Amino acid sequence: MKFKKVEIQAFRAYDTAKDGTFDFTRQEDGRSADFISLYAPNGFGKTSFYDAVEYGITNNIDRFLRKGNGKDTFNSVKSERNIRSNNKQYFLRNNYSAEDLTSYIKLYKVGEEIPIETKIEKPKTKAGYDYKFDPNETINKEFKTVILSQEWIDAFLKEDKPEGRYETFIEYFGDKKIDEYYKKLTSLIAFNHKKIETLKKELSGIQLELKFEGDKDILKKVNEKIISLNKAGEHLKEIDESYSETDALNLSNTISERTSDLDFEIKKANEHIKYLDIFFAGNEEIEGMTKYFESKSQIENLEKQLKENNSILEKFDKKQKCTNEIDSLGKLNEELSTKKQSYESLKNDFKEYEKIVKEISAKRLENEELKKQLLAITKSLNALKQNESENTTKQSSIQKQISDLERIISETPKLKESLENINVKLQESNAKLVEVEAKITSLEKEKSLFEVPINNLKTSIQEINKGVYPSVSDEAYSNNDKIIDELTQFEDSLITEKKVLNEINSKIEASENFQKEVEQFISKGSEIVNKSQTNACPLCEQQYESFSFLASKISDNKLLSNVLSSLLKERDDKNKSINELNESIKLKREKIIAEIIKKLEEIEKKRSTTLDDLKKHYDSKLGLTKEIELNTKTLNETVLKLNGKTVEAFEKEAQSSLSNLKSEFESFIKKNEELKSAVVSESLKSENAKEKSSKLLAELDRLYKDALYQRVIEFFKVNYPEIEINENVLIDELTKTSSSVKSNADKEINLKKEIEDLNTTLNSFKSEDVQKQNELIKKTKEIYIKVITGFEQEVKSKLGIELIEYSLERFTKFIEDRKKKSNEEVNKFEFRIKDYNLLAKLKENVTPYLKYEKAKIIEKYTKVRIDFLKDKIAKELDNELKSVADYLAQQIDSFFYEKLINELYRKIDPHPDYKTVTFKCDFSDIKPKLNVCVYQAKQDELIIPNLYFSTAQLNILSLSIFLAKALNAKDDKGNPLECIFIDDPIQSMDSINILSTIDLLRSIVVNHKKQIILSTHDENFHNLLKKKMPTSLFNSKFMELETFGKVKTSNN
Amino acid sequence: MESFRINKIEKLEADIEKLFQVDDLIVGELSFGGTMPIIFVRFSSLDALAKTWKDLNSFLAAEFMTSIKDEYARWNFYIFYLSKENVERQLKYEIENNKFSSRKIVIENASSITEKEINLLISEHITNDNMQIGVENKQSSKFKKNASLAKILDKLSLNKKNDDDLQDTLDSIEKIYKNEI
Repeated sequence: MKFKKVEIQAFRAYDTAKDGTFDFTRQEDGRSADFISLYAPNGFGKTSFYDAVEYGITNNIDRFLRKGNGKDTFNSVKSERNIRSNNKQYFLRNNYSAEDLTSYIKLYKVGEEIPIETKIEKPKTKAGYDYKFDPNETINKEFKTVILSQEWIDAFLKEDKPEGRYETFIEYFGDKKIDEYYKKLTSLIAFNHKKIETLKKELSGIQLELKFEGDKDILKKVNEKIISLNKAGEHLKEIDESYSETDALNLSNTISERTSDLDFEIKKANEHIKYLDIFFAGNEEIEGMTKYFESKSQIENLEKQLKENNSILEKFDKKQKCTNEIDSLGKLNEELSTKKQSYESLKNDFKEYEKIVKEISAKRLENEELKKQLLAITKSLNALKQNESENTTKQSSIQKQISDLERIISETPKLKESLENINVKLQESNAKLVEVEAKITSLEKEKSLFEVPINNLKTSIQEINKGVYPSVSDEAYSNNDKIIDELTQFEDSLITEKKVLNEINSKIEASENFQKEVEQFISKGSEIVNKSQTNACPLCEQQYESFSFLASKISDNKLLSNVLSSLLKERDDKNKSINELNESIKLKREKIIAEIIKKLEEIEKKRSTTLDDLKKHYDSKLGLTKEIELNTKTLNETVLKLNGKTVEAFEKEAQSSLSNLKSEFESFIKKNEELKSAVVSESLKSENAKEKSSKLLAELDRLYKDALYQRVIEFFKVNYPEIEINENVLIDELTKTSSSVKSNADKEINLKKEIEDLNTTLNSFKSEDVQKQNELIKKTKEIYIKVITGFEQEVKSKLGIELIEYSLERFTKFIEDRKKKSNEEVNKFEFRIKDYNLLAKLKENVTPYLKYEKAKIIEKYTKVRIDFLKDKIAKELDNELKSVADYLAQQIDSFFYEKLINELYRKIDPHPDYKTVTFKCDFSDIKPKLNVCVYQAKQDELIIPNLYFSTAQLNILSLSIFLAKALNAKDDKGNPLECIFIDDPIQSMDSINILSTIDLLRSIVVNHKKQIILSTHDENFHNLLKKKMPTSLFNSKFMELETFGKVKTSNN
Repeated sequence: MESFRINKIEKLEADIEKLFQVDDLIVGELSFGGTMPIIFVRFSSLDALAKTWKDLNSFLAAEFMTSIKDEYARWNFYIFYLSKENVERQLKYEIENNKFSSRKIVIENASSITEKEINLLISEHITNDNMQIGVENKQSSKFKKNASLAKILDKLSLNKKNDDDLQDTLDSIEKIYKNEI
């Protein structure tokens, strides 16, 4: 695979494809070059070119993936983007390319028309990237081996320690998966070893447990005790070999829990027995049962006595009640007699009261009638007054109409006169207006006639300044025909002269360029002559008398400068004549323009007179129009006053209206007088009615205030407020009072008899004594009740029975039974505690016995496992590790073409002593090592190159390693890759190595038909390559980048 | 029989022999791309080499180089200084690093100059046509992992240094080999 063209657009340093096209086709013969040297200072885009080729073929750029599998580059790009706050969006794409420019790389292979095209898509989002930073994206991996970049050297040669070098080698060139497998194996082997050691330690611990000297029948004994306890009502599990420490702990807990429970039960039973004894015999706080039953019979006696005493006290009460009743009957009879007297007096006055009531009613009726009459009179009077006032208003309105009409009639002759005057004035004004308008029209016409010549003259001035002159046939300029002809001639001459000047200038320029070339030529010639000190001209081979004569002949070459000076003189002359022509044209133009301006001024003066006249006429037109408007307004107002009628018709109509109004006025005066007399008569009637009414009201007032009348009303208001005043009420009340007095006398007699009977019974008692006795009984009873309730409550709380249901005999039996039962329980529990204590002692020996049994089993198992890990697993792992190490060593061996590397290295020949390079892998330690060694030619002494070699020598070593690999590179189908890309190989080689390196590269191109595409920042190196591999003799091409991202065209 | 690769330049050879004491001398032109002048010279002793090589160099630059018209020839001029003995390191370095007008190569332990030797030196230092690039490398045999071990180890990750993971892996391996027993 060789390339004939590389086209790069909008990729890294490159913008448009126009500037980013590397065409390797030679201009000489159209062949595609086999050796290309690309020169550019650092930063112009050399490395971007190699990136493009690599990306185009492998879909990735290896140098960005070396560290941390691309993650390091990605992190740098990410933080750069953060710092620049998104100014730089793309990684592969050129950030300065136009947004619509497609990013692509086209690689044209020799012998194929269709290029390999790779497009770089923009990221879909602003946060996205146009590059994946992922080594898994790489295709055609083999191609990487034909691109040399500086990273090659840093890759592993510069590592100090062989362990580090191995790591770096694997990271860059090795089989990472196998290496990881190797690392896993070493970790696992170490872990297995550690495990075996741990197991051994565990084994020695286990063997301590095997020293047991206790009772081996202990299990049986413990279980016998458990069975016996279970029979007594306990619930314990029997013990077997699975008995663990947890089981032991649980058993201990059960034993102590149960022992403590049983202890508590015993205490409870003893307490019970104690209380039974107290209830039977009693102690300081609680009375015994004998006292309880005695108290119960005492209370019954006391209750009987209390009942008898209460019956006597009731009789005393009854006697007192009868005495009180007799007293209240006496008081009632007194009240009844007072009431009877007042009813009788009221009954006697009742006839007089009824008379006054009748009189009041008659007077009130009369007064109502009088009120109705007065209301009617007032109403009629108001109506009359209203009528009178309306009449007066109408009357005065008619009077006003009459006086207005009389004034209008008197003004009529004046109105007629003014109307006639206005009409005359209007006619006069209109006639004047017609005259003024005619004059204005004629003046406007006159004014427009002046405009045309003025405009024409102004345009002519502008045109003359531009060099366009008016025709002499035009009347306006006929006087200037001579000047115009002269001007036209001058202009023609000027054009001709300028044309000549331009020709002279071109000649001068050509002559100057030629002069420069000759000067260079002469200086080169003189340089050659001076260098060689020869007396033969190197240009024409003519012999001169001496070297110095030839040198002065060359340096005095004046031929060409004479031609130039005559041309320059000619140019000066022309410039002078052009200036003179320009000056004449300027003067003539000024003269003709001055004349035109004079003519213009005359016409403008005439126009201004006309304009003044026109203004005067416009002013008088305005005055007339205003006058006509004013008169027309006055005329319209007068016509409105006459209602559109003639003055005579208007006067006649007014007179007739006046006489109608006067007769109407007379009728209103008459009606007014009639209304006034009616008002006087109605007022009189009203006064009479009012007087009569006040008399009636005084009479009524006297009757209401009568004393008898008031007393009757007051009595009924107080005693019978809801009943109508009536004599029968009084009669009924009198009857009722008499009957009440009689019944009260009977009651009194009965009561006195009852009192006598009670006195006989109560003769031997005193009420106070009986009451005192009762108090004493109640207190005694309370004492007994306290004794009883106290005892009953104690019994209920301690024994749980209601004592009220028990007799003395029954309770005695109950206590005896209970006491017997409790004593039996105490004995039973004490026996069980004893058994538990025995079990606790026995069980202590079980755990050591069982541990001994278990240790025997574990010991056996651990021994087997240690043997297995040692003999089987460790051996398997070691074997596998060895085969992986062998494979890795083989792989590293096959990576380095050791023989070819040494041959290449020797040809470039950097080091006087050390001649043979070898690469050795060492897997003997946990960490593998890669040693790069250089042997001296004669001794067997070995050195590590990076400790003794200069940077240049290391560079040559890495160039040798690279070339050896690149020369043997094949694609995935096994076809050789014929191209080699070398980015700036001479960073710090000395010159002898440059010459040998060039010889080596040249022979690779010539002998092995490889295509080498090399770049350099060193112009001397580039030029040296031109000399060593000239395009005329070799299939080579030399290219340059002229600026950032731009290929220089046709520089071969 | 290999033919001599260079065309002799007899005149220059005679001029040099006149001016310098040399044991062996061959001056000729090699055709490689264009024409390259090459001189093989051996002085009588190491001492003579040390004393004379600069003079020979100056003479060639002044007399011979100025007469060469072909630019390619001027830029591709090689001088081989041969010596019977080993040359002292400093001297060898000085000669080979002299960049005036030609590339210079010191050849040690050269007892005589035969056509065969000359052709070999040209191949070795200028045309490099003896170089075998298509070296067949030792092909590494395909490596086969122990399948049972690989199956378990592939699941292990070394990123976290964790004894539990290693223990699990070891347990799995133990299980497999136990089953085999």
